[in-house]
Amino acid sequence: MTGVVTGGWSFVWAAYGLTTAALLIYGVSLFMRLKEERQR
Amino acid sequence: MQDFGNNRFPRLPYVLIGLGALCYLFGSFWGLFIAPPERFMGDLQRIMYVHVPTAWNWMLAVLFCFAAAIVFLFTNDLKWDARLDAGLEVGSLLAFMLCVQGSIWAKPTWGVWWDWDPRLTSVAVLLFAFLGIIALRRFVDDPRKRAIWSSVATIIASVDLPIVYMSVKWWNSLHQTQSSPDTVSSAFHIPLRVNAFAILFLMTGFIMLRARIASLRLANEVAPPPMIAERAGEMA
Repeated sequence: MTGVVTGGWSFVWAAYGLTTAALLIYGVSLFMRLKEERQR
Repeated sequence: MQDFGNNRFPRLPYVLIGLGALCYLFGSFWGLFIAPPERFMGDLQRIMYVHVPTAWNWMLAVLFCFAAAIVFLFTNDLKWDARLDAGLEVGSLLAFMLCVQGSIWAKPTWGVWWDWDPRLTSVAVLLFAFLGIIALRRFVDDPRKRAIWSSVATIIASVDLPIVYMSVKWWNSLHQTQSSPDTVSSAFHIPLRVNAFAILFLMTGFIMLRARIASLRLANEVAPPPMIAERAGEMA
C-alpha cells in the first residue's frame, strides 16, 4: 500500500469524453438553431 | 423588424469558438499526456484540467446572468433579456458538465458518485434554479413580463453563488478548498490555465451566438402581424 490511487484512466477518459461531447453537441445545436431562426 | 443589438460583431463568436476549441485541444493534450501524475491521486487528477476551468467559468456565467438581470431591470432594454436568456442556458450547460465531471472524479476517490455535501448540493441547487427559470420563460408569452420575472428570479437564484464559493470554508466538506494556480504545483499550471481560457472563449462565443438567437426570436415576437405591417406601409 503506497496511498496512491492507481489506474483510473477510464474515469479520466469518461470525464474528457463527456465534456468534449457536451461542448460539441451544444455548439452544433447553436449553429443549427441560429440557421433555423434566420430562415423564419 | 426591431433589432435587439446582439449582432454588433458578427464574426467574433465564431473566432472565439475556434480559438476556444484550439486551446481546449492543446490544454487537454498537455493535461492528459505531458503533465506529470499527482502524488496521491495519480492519473485521476488529470480530471482537474477540465473540472476546475469549468467551475471557474460557470461562476463567471452566473455573474454574467446576475449582471444582465440587474441591467435589464434598470434599463428595460430587451437586448439584456436576450443576453440573460443566453447566459441561463450556457450557465446550465456548464453546471451540468461540472456535476458530471465531479461525479466521475468522486467515484474512485470518495467511493460514491454523489454526496449531499455542501459544495455539491449548493451547485445542484443553482443548476435546478436556472433550469426552473428557463422553464418559467416558456410559460410567459409577454416578452416584458417574462424579462422582469426571469430577471428577479435570476437575482434571487444568484444569492447561492457566494454560498457555493464559501461552502468549503463554512462547513465540513468532502470537497477540497478552492483551487487556483497558487494552490497547485507549477507543473500543472499550463494545462490548467490554457483550458481555463479555452472554456472562457467557448463560453463567451456560445453566449454571443445564443443571445443572437434570442434576439431574433424577440424580434419575431414583437414584430406587428403582417396585415398591420402592410397597412402601416400603405398609409406611409
